Amino acid sequence: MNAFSLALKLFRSNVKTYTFYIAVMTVAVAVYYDFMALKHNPEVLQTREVLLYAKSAAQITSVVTLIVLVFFMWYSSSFFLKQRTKEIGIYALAGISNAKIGLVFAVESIFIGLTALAGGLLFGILFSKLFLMALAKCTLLDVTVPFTVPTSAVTEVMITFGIIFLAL
Amino acid sequence: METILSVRSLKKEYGSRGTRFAALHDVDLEVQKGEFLAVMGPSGSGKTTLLNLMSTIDQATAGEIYIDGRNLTRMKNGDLAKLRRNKIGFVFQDFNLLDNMTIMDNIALPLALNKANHKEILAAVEELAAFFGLTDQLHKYPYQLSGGQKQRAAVTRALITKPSVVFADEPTGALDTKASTELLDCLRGLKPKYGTTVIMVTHDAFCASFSDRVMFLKDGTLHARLDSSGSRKDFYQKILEMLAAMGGITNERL
Ligand SMILES: Nc1ncnc2c1ncn2[C@@H]1O[C@H](COP(=O)(O)OP(=O)(O)OP(=O)(O)O)[C@@H](O)[C@H]1O
Ligand SMILES: [Mg+2]
Repeated sequence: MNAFSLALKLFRSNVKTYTFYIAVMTVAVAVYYDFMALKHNPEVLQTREVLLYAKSAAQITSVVTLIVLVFFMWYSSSFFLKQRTKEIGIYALAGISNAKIGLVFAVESIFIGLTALAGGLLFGILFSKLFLMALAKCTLLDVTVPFTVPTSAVTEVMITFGIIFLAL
Repeated sequence: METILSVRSLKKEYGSRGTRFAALHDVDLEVQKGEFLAVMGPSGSGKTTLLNLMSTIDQATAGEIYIDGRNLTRMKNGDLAKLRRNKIGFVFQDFNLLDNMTIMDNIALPLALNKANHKEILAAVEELAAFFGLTDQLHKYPYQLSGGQKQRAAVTRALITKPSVVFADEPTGALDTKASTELLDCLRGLKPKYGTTVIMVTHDAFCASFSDRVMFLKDGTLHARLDSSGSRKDFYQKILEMLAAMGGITNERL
């Protein structure tokens, strides 16, 4: 077994511990995606009035979402680390070098990140139409919102979260 | 007889300048291959400190420790990790099993690094588990096991890499007499089957009486030694007398 398969095994056995964490992250990714979808939606972009306020509102909201998210992830990472000192101790006693332990944990958090990202995008896309319709209703805009998946929004979400996951 | 572990003029100080005090000093010790050694002594006499030094968990202030002829006190971290992986097993009072893994995975964990294939790992785990009477528990989780079973699982994990020496700090501390007896009988049975050396810290005369030899620590230094004549009952009696002579310790299992 190498570090990768050990991490995979750990990830599987730890899924329960992480359920809440992954769920919150998934929701956050989904919300963030929906705002991105709004920002990049061609229909919405065409409406002049929207440009005035909805776009900046979307921008602000997405930034706030992002800040909350980063804080949450940073907080729970350190929380998990504390919980897992026992695990780290056992690896150290089993003669696994510090570098390798670090690698195992890094690979594991990449799994977690990818799961949340994939789940979040999926939910975000599924609910994006609903979200945009609700928004159109609220803002009394008369636009019919077609169901589109703007690739630029997907890319932006992936890049943003890719950076966050790597940084933590 | 082959010496597996030797300790020369070992010293360990704790604290910073001004408040330094020696938790351990002038300790010399030789342990033979396959020996079952018990370390006894009053609380605070330095038993855990000695065990941590010998098992590479902590570093000595002065003196030398050799395992299989290799000087621990001169080793780099990478070499120490390798030594731990190949030569040393650990057992603690509170079992230290991972709650979210089955007993099987817990035991197999130390093998995760050695490039052994899946079948070999499985075979090794099954053989040792049978020796410790855990065959039926392999697919359970730690919370489904009794304390005695958990500790035997922890010992199985410690032995899975076929270490030369197993270090155990109060392994029976959380067990009742029956579970302790089962565990100690297994530890005693290791020598004929696997040739493993066991070094166990205990403050319990009953547990110590299962060993081949008892070293007594007092105020951070070795105070006396007793060798088993073969009869556990006689040995137990001798240990009790020694403890009484040293003063301060009463046995909890009279
Ligand atoms: N990390 C530490 N820092 C400072 N002092 C320590 C540390 N660890 C142990 N000591 C001190 O060293 C002495 C020996 O401690 P040690 O833990 O080895 O005793 P022990 O024989 O294992 O006792 P017990 O039977 O209670 O487990 C004690 O006086 C203790 O307070
Ligand atoms: Mg102790």
